[in-house]
Amino acid sequence: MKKLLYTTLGVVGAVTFAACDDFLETNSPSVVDADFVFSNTTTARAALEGGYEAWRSTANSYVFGAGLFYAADIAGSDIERHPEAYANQKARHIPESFYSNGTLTSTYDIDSYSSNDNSGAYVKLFDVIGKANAVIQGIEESASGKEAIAAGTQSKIGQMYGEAIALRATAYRELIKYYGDVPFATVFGEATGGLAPRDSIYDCILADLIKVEPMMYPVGKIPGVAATAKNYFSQTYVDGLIGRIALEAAGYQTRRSDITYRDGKGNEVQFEKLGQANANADNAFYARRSDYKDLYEMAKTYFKNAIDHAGSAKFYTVDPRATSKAGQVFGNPFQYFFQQMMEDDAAYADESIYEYPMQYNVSSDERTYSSGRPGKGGTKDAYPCKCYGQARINPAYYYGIFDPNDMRRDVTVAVTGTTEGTEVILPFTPGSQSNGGGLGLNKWDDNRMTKPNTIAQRKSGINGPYMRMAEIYLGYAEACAVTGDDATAKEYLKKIRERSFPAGLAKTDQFITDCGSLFNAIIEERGFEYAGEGDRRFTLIRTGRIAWAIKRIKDLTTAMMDGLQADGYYQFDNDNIISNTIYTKAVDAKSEKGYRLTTQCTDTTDPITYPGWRGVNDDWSLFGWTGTTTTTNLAIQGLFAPVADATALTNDGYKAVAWGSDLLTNRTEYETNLFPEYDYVSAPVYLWPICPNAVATGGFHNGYGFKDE
Amino acid sequence: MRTANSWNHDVSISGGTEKTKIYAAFNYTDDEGIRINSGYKRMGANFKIDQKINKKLSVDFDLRYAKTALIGNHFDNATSAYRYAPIDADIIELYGTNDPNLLGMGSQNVEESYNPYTATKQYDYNKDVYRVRARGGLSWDVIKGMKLRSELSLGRNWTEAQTWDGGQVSGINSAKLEKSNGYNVRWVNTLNYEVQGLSKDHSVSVLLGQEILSSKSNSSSYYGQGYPEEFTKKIAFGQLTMNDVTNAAYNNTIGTPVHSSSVFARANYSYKGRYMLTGTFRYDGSSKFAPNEHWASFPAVAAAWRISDESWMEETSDWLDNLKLRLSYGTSGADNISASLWKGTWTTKSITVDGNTVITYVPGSMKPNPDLKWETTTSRNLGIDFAFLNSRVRGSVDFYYNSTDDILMQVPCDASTGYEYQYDNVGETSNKGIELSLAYDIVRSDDFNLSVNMNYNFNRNNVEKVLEGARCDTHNGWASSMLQPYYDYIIREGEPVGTIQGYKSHGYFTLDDFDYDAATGKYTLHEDQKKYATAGNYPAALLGMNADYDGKSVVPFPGAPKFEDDDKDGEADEKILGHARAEHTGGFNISGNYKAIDFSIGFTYQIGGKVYNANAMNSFKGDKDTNAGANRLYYAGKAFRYHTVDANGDLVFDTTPDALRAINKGTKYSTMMSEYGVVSSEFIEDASYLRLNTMTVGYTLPRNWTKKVGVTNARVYVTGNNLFCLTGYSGLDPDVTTSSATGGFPTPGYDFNSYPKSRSFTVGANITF
Repeated sequence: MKKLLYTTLGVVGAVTFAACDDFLETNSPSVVDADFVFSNTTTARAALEGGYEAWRSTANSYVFGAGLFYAADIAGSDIERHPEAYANQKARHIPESFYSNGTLTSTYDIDSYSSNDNSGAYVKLFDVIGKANAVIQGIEESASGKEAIAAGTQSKIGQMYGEAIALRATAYRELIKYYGDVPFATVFGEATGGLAPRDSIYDCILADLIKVEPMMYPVGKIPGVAATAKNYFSQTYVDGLIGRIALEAAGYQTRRSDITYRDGKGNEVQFEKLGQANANADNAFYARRSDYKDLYEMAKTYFKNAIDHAGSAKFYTVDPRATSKAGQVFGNPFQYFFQQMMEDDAAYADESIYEYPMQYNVSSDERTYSSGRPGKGGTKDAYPCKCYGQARINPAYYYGIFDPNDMRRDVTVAVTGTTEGTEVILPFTPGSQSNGGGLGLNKWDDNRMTKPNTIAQRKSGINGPYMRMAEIYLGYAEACAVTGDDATAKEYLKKIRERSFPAGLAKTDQFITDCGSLFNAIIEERGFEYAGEGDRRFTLIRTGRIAWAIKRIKDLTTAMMDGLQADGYYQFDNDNIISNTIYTKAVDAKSEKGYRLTTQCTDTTDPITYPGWRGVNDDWSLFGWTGTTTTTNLAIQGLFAPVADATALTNDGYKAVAWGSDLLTNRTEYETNLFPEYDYVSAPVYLWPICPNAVATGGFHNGYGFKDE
Repeated sequence: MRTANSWNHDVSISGGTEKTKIYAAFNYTDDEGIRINSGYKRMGANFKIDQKINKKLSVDFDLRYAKTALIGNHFDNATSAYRYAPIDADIIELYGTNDPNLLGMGSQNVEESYNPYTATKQYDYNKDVYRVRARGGLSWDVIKGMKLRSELSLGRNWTEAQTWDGGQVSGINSAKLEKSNGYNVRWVNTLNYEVQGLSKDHSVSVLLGQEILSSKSNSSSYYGQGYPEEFTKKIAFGQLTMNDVTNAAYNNTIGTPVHSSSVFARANYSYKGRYMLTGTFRYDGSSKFAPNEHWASFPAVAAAWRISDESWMEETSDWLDNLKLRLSYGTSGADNISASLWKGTWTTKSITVDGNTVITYVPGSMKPNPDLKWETTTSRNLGIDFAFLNSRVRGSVDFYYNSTDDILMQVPCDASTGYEYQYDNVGETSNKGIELSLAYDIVRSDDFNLSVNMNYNFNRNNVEKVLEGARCDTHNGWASSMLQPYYDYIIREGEPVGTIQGYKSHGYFTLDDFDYDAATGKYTLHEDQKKYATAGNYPAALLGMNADYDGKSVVPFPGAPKFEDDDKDGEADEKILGHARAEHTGGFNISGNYKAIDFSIGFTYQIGGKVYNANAMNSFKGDKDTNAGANRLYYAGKAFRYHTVDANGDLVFDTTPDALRAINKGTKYSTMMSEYGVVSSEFIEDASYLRLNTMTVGYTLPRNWTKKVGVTNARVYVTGNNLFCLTGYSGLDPDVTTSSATGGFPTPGYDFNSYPKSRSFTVGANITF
């Protein structure tokens, strides 16, 4: 009996102790670690796809959509403005307008816009960086990766490595743009302990990109990727990204007074300062590196590489579209880019080098909702659905600065929005959708889409335009101008400018003279090309032109308001006249013109088609609209010159509509609250505070006078 | 909502011989939900056999089977159903148009597709859970006093869930099929020895044991959307792949097994049943921790002294039946976290890009923490049991001091790592308190019995220590990111868990707080009122009433909520507004019978504590135009107003003092036009209550009636639950905790769109043959 007892106890003991170490180590083949993921190229590629997806959702939802770009870049420059009253959206209007010359940094509620629950752009961008770092490490540690990197020439693994490096660089570029100096992490999972000077980060990511550039393939030629796809980082993109980052690294930025700035080699950075330190913002100063020309040289080299390795990215100087069956005439190569973005969900625009892909009816999409022609539709089942219209255009820019002959003006600026299949004027009263907010962005418009989403708002499927040939040309022109190659600079400026003017009207030389220098002309041209797209703000900051541009638009706004107040109208230097009242009439464009959606207009006297690129979808009933209105379009009189005979117009069925008078009513909004208190000399605080969670766990402090909590 | 019925039937049979005992039971429950399209059904069976093999050996077997069917619905629309305002007809009348866009983003509050009834009907969810468990035990009386028992329990479970969305709300129909299966194993071996041959005053027993637990669950799911419009749920699940394909996703997960292993020992010593001493020791291992943190040991000791048995207490024996002193000190461990938190994990996820499915690998957003270790609770207890007057009065008093170390919690981590959060052993909390229970049999007789039971608990919780750098504050979801202050539940050393942060309210700014300048129509705040500030954000028309308004900052105005601003910086001060958990809780119960009629009444109560009435605060949140057109709770009817209806029947906005005085005669609260959700002490309310929890009346049928039909006992009864609740709370029920939006943080007392407690009545019969 005892023997049996001891045997039993023995078995029990053995089970408990001998086997327990193995017993407590459990795992599942569904839960894998990094070693497994990077053990073969298929799973490694999937990890890279995971990084892309993190970037796509971060870009769309936290940077561009309802994020920092959405708040400030598409609403805060001399061209762009916000739709609502200043006090209505202080969490984004304060940062947009440089925190009232920095006076509000110390009281700004730092988690009022960038929320603190791990959903801010800062945390999400580091999430992208973490994923990129994991892929980079995985490839660097694998045998095939080592081989490809050592060879330094085009290969499948080299391409994948280059994509991961580009992913990391792209995320750092956005971080520095919004937060200035940030931690620099290159190892997934390891905390860095504190902030790194932005110059050192720029130098490191540029060196990385230069290293991988020769290992990659131009857009459209990546092995294993469809030739038409542009949602992967290509050699062309990396060339453009090097150029883009080099220009930003070379540019003026507002810097913290409590950081010793060092470059990628560890040397202290020498600065050329502009204006004066901002006493309201912890003495932040506005300066560029004194070796900025080296970076411009780098930009020049790589923009040229992008042009030489353009792959499937094209640049149209002539619109390839034929006249439509209904009779619409296009003739605007600039607009063709946006039109292509609004076509089939899976198609990419020819001029694009990289677009982040958005899926129709799946996740929140900023085009057309916030960046697009405003519309007052329901949240669902509407024609079109609601378009809030965050990106708005300063009226003084539209009237006074845009050349009336520039074919980009009407493609860019919407005077009208739409509601339930009909065209309505966009009033200047602060507000949103087509209820108010003033001139809108016209580049993306549900009415122009091949398959507009009438099921739900904010799910158009239009991709994010992240890099296209126009930027390469303009960047190359800028780099050439700074490094002394004026002839090439002018050549590329002309390529951009002349395709958007009727023959002989671009007058590029006169334009350069008016701007004061070739460099200034290139920066101004970039404004016309990218107006409303959020490029302007940081371009002005990095080129040191911000103070000049803000002063110009404020002075022009004041003059316009004074004129409207005194005379009921104001005449700009380009002969455009804004009046207190305009006249509109609902018309049946289909019966008069054969279509409802208008295109390039050459007849400035036609009230239905001028200004161009407006109207409504030719036939909303194809998408389920049951409305019966036929007078869907708006004939407009008096937009650029006072009407000669108001009574005749009224007799003809036109109605008087408040126009400039609404600007006067809201003068504070358009004039005083346009970069309030900005003194044009203090360092502009265009940066955002880092959210409290990240400050607390990151072990550093916010600069520029921001709070930490 | 609806009045729901539920049925519960139990049948059991038992019997056997001296060596064999059998038992069989069957039960069936059908419980309709009080919310439409929801409910619960359960069917279970249980068979047991005990068999003596010989004098020393016996075996027992237990087999159980259960099927549970859950019917659920779309809760998000249903919990805020009151907001839906089907007023299209009125809009037509008011504006002469049926354009719901007049309400801007608030159009959803009147659109038919947001009708919670429609939404609930559109959405269909059912889940069937099957469980089988077999348990076998072997007992062996090895030698006298020594018993060895081995027990093995094996279980399996299967679930199948079907989710169908008809598509009217989301815009597209979809079906999701989820299946899972799992197992669990438990094997326990114990050896118990009563030491033999000691004098009768001494008693020593020793227990040695070992336990192994293992469980695992695998799951797979299929999702498809864009089924033909004619498809019903039934057809869709039969033709699951007949969808738009591009958004279809199949997923299969093999679970990580959870294993634990323990050895334990216990020794008891008793002297004359008067002095008792127990020592226990556990050594526990868990697969949830990294290899070097698998194991932890948890010792405990306890002693008891039956004072009433002492000889010098003899003279009290005529009235004192029992007096016992207990003392204990011990530790225990917890591993209530998921497996694999200590190591980095990558998982696949399929996404759709340009209509094509792309498979991605992503690392988790949780940073692995290989240093995670067992959460340890140390308990210290001193207790007294007593009974006197022939045990008519009996009860106990316990004093305790428990502290928990290395609490396992989710905390944010340095974003530059690429991770968002990690689990860590973040701190230490303590609970100190008294538990008191008392029973008194007031009447004892053959026909009439009446007794009272009551208990009272006092507990004081405290956060003793928080890991340096760990930020454990919580942000509740009711106002999403538009919440001021951002953190409403905070964890601070020296404060209990459930500390609520917000602004200290002094009502709202009244007209008397300002000077009015009739020429400009502006108000200027009195100097002595500058110790108050407002919070939130308001339409420029309201802020602009203040003469000092610069178009940018938030300033007080008549009707604005008024909060303490001790430092007079123009911003309301963030303050601790209270502690959610009540320190005093308890209940009392009266039961008895008169002849065949029995009855019992049970009350529960708590004194103190706070309820975070987010429902009320949400009624003051304008949220730009998202809330336009929505119904609000009755608080909004007492909010400060600025609009009046003129002779033409038009709404007129008027901010002159006379008009505001006239409009706001019955006003109790500030304006409801704040863009932000503001945490105000006004709605951090007292959570005290007294609830009549249950009341039962039963009647046992006379035996001589029932005997004739072979029934040995038959009783019918009526029970009412949650019959009334006395409270000062302005919301539905002060005993509430809506789970927090952010994972892992306790937010006691948070009341936001919670599922209401129902009042229920049960009529039942117990019949024994």
